[in-house]
Amino acid sequence: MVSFLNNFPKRMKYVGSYAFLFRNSMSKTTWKQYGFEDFYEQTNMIFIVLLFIMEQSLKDEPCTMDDIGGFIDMVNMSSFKKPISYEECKELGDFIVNVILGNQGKVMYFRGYDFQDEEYKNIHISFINNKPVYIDDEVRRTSYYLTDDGYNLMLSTLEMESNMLLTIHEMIFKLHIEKASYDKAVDDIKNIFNQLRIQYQRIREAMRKIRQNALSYSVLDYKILLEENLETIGDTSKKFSGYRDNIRERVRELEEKDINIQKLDKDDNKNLVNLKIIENYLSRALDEHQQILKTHFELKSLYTKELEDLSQMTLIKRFNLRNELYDKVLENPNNLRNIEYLLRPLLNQEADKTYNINKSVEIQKPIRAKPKDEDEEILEFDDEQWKEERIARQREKLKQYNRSLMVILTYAHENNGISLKDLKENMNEDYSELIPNVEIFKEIVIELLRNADIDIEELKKERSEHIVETSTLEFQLNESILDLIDINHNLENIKKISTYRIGDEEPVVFENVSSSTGKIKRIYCSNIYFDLN
Amino acid sequence: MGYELEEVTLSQSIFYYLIEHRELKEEDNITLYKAYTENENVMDLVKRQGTIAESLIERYGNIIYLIPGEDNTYLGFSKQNLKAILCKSTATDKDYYLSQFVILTLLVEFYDGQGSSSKARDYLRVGDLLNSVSERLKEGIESSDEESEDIDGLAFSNMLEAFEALRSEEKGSRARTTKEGFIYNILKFLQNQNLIDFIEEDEMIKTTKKLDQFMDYNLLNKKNYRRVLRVLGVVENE
Repeated sequence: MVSFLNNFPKRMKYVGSYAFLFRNSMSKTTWKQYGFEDFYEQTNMIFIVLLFIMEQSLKDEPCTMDDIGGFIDMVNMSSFKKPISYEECKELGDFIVNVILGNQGKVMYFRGYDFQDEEYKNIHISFINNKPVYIDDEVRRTSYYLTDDGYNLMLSTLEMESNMLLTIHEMIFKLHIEKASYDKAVDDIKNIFNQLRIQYQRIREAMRKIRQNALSYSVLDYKILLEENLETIGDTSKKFSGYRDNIRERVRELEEKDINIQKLDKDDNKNLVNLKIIENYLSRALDEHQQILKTHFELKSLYTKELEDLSQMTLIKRFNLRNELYDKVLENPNNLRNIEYLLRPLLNQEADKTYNINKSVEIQKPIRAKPKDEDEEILEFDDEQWKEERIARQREKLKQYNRSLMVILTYAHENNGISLKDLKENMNEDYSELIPNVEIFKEIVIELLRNADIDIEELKKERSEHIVETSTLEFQLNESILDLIDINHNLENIKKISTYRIGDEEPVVFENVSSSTGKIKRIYCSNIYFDLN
Repeated sequence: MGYELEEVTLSQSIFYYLIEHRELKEEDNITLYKAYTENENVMDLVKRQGTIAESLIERYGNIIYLIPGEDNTYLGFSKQNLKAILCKSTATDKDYYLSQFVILTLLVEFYDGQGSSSKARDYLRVGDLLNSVSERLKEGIESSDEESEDIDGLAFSNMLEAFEALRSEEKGSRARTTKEGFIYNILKFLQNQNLIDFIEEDEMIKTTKKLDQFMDYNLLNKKNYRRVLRVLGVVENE
């Protein structure tokens, strides 16, 4: 056989990717709805979207339909200026991603002739894949990412073989460092870091593929990936550490110069900043390198294990669902009558529960609504999430303080000063706003009593002179009063709040109020007067 | 054959675990998993218990599954159970058959492959499934012969009527009286059974590894072809 045809299937894989892209895109009228009339416009758009997905994959950030739509909208506004709305951009994104790149979910096979075996062989092609992700820990969305083929396609648009990229970038990086053009070296090191990233994601993607179906992952792919890994891992670690030491040395020199001899001029300062960025990226590259090393071994053991499992599966002979069953059902719907025989093994029913009569004589523990603080049971300890939840709880609590204080202020304002006793009468036994729980109410009243006279004008003046940290989530009486007055215009003309005990003999009694632990209490308060003037 | 008491106890624990969880993952209970995979006696005992419970105990990948047999309506779903969970309370038989047809269509869309695995696509959008169902129903009306139709009303024309009678609404409606709601309910059920991943927001359906394995190893296995024959009403000659 002619030797130049040896690698023909490999070439066909690249060509096949382009062929599929164009086949899926050409003669689709959908384009025209969005004003992309010409073939070249459409092609540009496809690759813009592909690049965006690649960028998101590299950053390991989610890439949902909304992100893609938003990006298209942005590009369209700034460059293409087609008269399409944001919603239409999203639809266009959906069309590009699902119809053109995703082939509507159907697997794509390009048939390439293999001259060694003298037959056409199926070459699997996929540009993107998707996975479920959680946005802000709650909404489940589909996030798209580039597959190995996708990366290769995108990299080939820069006319370089993927396994050569790293070496080339590294050489350029070294050159730039030697010439001390650090600003360019920053770009180089970013490129190098991206290369490592891609390699790492390749391994992860390979592992995912293997897990899904080890047979669809060819031994040749595996071999290439392993070789690439080894090449990447090879002596990069040592070289990168070398570079890092070198860079650190230069940073130190510059810094010493800054302290000892003279102030750095503008250029040197810029160099210092760039050098620090380079150092940072080198450290990250080293981390990434570690990751690759680790996953490399994971990949090897996974592949072995899955292949072992698979050796059982290849023995299984399968029938074709469509021919053997579905078509027959279509011919005669009566066949649906017993279809559950087929489906039953798939579905599991909860077993019936049996009532244990002993439950009826168990000692009953009273069930009360638990206070908010305790009812969350977090099984998975996510630090971020935990913090957010804590902040949310504090905010909720602060709201309760404010609501209670608001009730006092409103009634005091309406009646031009009010005693606690009269306030209670006004509540009609519903204390949920005034006394969300005993502790909160107590704290507010004690704070009010301790301050005795609060001059609003003075507080305002004080606040305008000091920059107060706004995000405090603890209850501050003065802050809360000012906030409430700001928000509620009817309280605007309050000038002064005075709070003092009245020497009444009779205490004011609140029944059925809950404490922070959920206990129901009755509280006795000495009568107090809230005076506004 | 003699068994150690310890082996019997272990097998019983495994079986109870399976009754409770329906599957035993390596990472969830490594002791039981190891006992099953590494001790043939234990595996044998568990499988026996499975047979008594009209079920199959199988390990696919690193998960051991309890698979209800096709006649097992205690661990598996009976027709009535399924109808109650898949259709609205006033549903008729045609609604139920329609739901079965939807599930079958979903399976065919996904598992039509001839290669080493039967899986033929990565994902399916809800809209595509809806279109596919109504197209196939129409196809069914054409290809099914008239005589077979009205034995007792199980006909594609009835199902198509039931399907078209469901209102079609823009996104958002989840009432079981809309097409989307009807399908949504079925998909939710399949998701609860851990057979598919259904991402509402993007109307995206993906199959789980569990379903892939069940289809490849079990449902489409030639060994289980008798189930198809039974569905098709062909009498088995043994």
